[in-house]
Parts: sequence; structure tokens; C-alpha cells
Amino acid sequence: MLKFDEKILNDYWGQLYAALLKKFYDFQLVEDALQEAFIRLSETIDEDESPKDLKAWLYRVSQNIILDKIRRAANFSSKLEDVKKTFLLNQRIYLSEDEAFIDERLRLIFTCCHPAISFKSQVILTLRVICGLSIEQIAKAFLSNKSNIEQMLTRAKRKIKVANIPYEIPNVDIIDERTGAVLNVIYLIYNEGFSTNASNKLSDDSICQFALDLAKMLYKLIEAKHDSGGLLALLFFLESRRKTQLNFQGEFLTLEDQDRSKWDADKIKKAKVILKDTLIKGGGGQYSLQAAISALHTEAKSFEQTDWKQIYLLYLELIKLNDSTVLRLNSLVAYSYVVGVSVRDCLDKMDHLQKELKNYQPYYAAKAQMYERIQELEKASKYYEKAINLSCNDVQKNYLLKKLKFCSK
Amino acid sequence: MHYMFLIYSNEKNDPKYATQEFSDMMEGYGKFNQVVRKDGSYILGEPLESVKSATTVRVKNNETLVTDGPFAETKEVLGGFYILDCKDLDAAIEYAKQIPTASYGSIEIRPIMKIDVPGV
Repeated sequence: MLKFDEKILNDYWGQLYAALLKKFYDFQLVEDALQEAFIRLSETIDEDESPKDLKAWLYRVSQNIILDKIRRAANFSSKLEDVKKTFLLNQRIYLSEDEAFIDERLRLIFTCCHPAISFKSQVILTLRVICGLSIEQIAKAFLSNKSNIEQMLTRAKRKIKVANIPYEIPNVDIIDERTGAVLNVIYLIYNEGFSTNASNKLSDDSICQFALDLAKMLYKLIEAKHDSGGLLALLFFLESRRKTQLNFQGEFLTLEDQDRSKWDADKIKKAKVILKDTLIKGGGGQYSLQAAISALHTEAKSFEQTDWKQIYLLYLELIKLNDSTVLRLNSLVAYSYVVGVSVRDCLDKMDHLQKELKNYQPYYAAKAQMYERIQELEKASKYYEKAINLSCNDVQKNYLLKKLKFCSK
Repeated sequence: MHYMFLIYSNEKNDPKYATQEFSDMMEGYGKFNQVVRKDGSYILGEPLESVKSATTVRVKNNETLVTDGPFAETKEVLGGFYILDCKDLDAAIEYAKQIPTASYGSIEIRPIMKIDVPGV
């Protein structure tokens, strides 16, 4: 019995979705047909008979299912245009491989990440439509339940239809900001996988892989423009050390404690090449800056030998682009490691951020660590407790509990 | 496809009559009106009198209730509207950007429902 590579099927899902949308711009119609076609494929496999060209077969079957539905609907509609449309569509059912599969996924991802759709829905839609994740997989990744995700998907698809969000690559004057929105979606997906909310594991391989694939796809299709290179480089840097976040016992290791010799040199090399290329072409943006910060970490032989001053300056550049309290927090943490800087001064400056970061777990973790560095163990314990209360991740919680124990001695 | 553009603003923030901001705003609307007519997308557009002139009607249990003022007290109130024929939402968004009130208020874009009447 033949078993098709799940990864190949996932790849096909996005490409087929995009190609079918080009012809029949209706998300629900396309998705239902594709689902049905994949089911029929698995039935075919069971019968010990496999279609030779998978992709073309799936395309043809999906198309037939859709045409069937349209024909049936047309029978109830007396509108001339609908009938005409059906007739025209019937003419050329079998497109050549080239015609059908010119990669339409760029259009698709811009549509899924349209600002008229809520950010969370953009993320869910992208995962479902382009990556082919099941609703169960998406629900698990976001600690939600199946019906919530289904509702959000349905609402998003309806919004696209009713408000007539176009299936287009944005115009030259807005493509930069719209690409930024896509990058944010991909980055969020990666982060979900990097230190996943699902309680028992620290990071989720497949979610990260999906994000990386999306970033690669975008980078290729958009010809490395609009900071797509910055994001791809950043993801490669993060991938290079994702697995080193856990030691043999499955315990969490900070950047300080990670075994740098285990960082994936191949991924680091790829990241640097892409980043360099991006900066040379002048396409840098917030993701290029974050990638540059990551690059500095990989260049340091140890945590202490890191060029913290340069990292701090990069954070200042990031703040210039997109001021946020989280960035200010990160910049202060970096600054506190610069030789000669008073950690207490940094802690005082961080107090100003407390109001906005009231429920932001890393704020408390950062403060706790800094108090520990200057031996104010009572204060450190207080903040470790707060950080533990806000943590949604068992592995992370265990690490913080250990630290708390040490400070409470 | 037809979209309605609902123009909302906090009346406190509206440019005051006989100020530079006011004449800038009027100029902006003049330009916008020209653009949408030239493009052929204009269907209808009107400014509305202040929300203080609103009257709200409700009918419950066969009783008609008429009250002074808008349907609800809101920070931003409806000040005017346009109905434009736009290719898609992106085209509508491009128009909304150009409506002067967008810079200090909000423009809500709503697709107008197309009802499928058989035989029509």
C-alpha cells in the first residue's frame, strides 16, 4: 500500500489552493473541493491504484467537483451570466501543467494576510490555506478549541467574499507595508513553534518548519524584496539554536547557558549570506535588524564576549522604526550587559515600563534575573514568582522554579 | 460593486468654521468629490447635519417611541456618507484614505448587499 509523503501533500495543498482560487475565487468552494479530492486520493491509494501525476490529478478532480457544484447552482439560477460562466468554464478543463501551476501562492498569501482580516484570523487562515494544517493542529498550536478556530476561519472566508477582498498582489505603492503584514504573520507562526504554548514541549518542530517554508517561499516569490530576506535570515538564526534550548534532561537553557558548539553552523552560514545580500540590496527593515542582533550572538564565543553595545544600538534602530515597550525592555536588558553600565540604573529605567507590561511574562523574568545578578535575592525571588504565575509553558516554569529555589535559599 | 463609506468623527474634533483647518477640509472634500466623479465611481454622497439634530424612532408592542438624539451615545458620530462603485475592497480603501475626515476620525467601509432576485 502506497503512502504519499505528507510533506509533499502539504506543499501541494497550498499550490493547488492558489491555482484553484485563480479560477474560482471562492475560498469555501475551493477548500471543500480540495478536501474532497484529497479524501478521494486516499481512497484510491487503498485500492492499490495510484494516479501517476499526483498534483495534476488532484487539480482535475477538485476542478470537476467545483464545476459540478456550480452547474447545480446554475440550474437554480435564471441569471444569464451564471449560466454563461459555467459554459465557458466547461470548455477547457484540462490545463497544461505549466498553465495550472504557475505559482499563485504569492497572491494567496497576500490575500490571507489582508489587513481587513483580523491578525489572528490572518495567521489561522495562512496556516490552513497555504500550509494545509488541519483545524485540530491549529487549535493545538494556539491552545484553542476546534470550534473557535472553525468559527474564525468561516468568518474570515466570508469577509473575503462579502467585502470583496481582491485576489491580487498589492500595488507598488502599498506592497511594502502589506509585505510587512505578511512577515508579521510568518514570524508569529514561527514564535508559536519556537517556544510553544502547548505545555509539555518547549518547541514544536513542524510549526517552525511551516514558518520557515513560508518565509522561503515568500523570499523566492517576492525576489528578496521588502525585508523578506531579513525575516528569512532571522528564522535561520533562530532555527540554528532552537534545539539547544533544552539539555539532555529536557530542561530549559538560556542563551547564556546554551552550548554554542551545538548551534547549527550550516543554518548560521545560510542566514549570514541572506542577511548580507539583503543589506547590500538596501532592503533592510525591522527583521533585518533583528537578524543582525542574532548574528552578533552567533559571532560571540560566549555570552560574556557578546558585543552588547552593538546589540543595544541595533535595538535603538529598531525602536526608531517601530517603538514599543517590549523593544524598550529588550534594549535595557542588552544595555545592562555592556561593561561599565550600572544594572541598577537599568532596573530603575525598567520600572517606567511596568504599567504597560503588567501582564507580560518576560518582563518579570528579566527583572528577576537582573536582581539576581546584583545579589538582591529577595527582590529576585519576588519577580521569579510573578514570572512563574504568568508562564504557560511547563518547561519554562520548571526552569524558573529552579531559579526561585536558588534565590530563596 | 457598491460600497457605503460611513464618515465618523468626534464632533469636538471637527475643524471649526472659519479656521484654516476648516477651509483645508472643505478643499479636501472638493478634491475628493472631483476625483470620484471623474473616475465614474460616485453614486451618492451627502454631509449630515449635526448629531444634535437627530431623532430616533423605535416601535415596540405597537407603541411608537420617538426620542431626541442619536440611537446611542457614542464618542464618534455619523457625519456624512458616500456610496461609491469600486472594483474591490482595496479600491474602496484607496478612496477612504482620501476622505478628509479619515485623518482625525474614522471611515467605515461596508459592502452593499446584492440581493439575488430571480428573473431580474
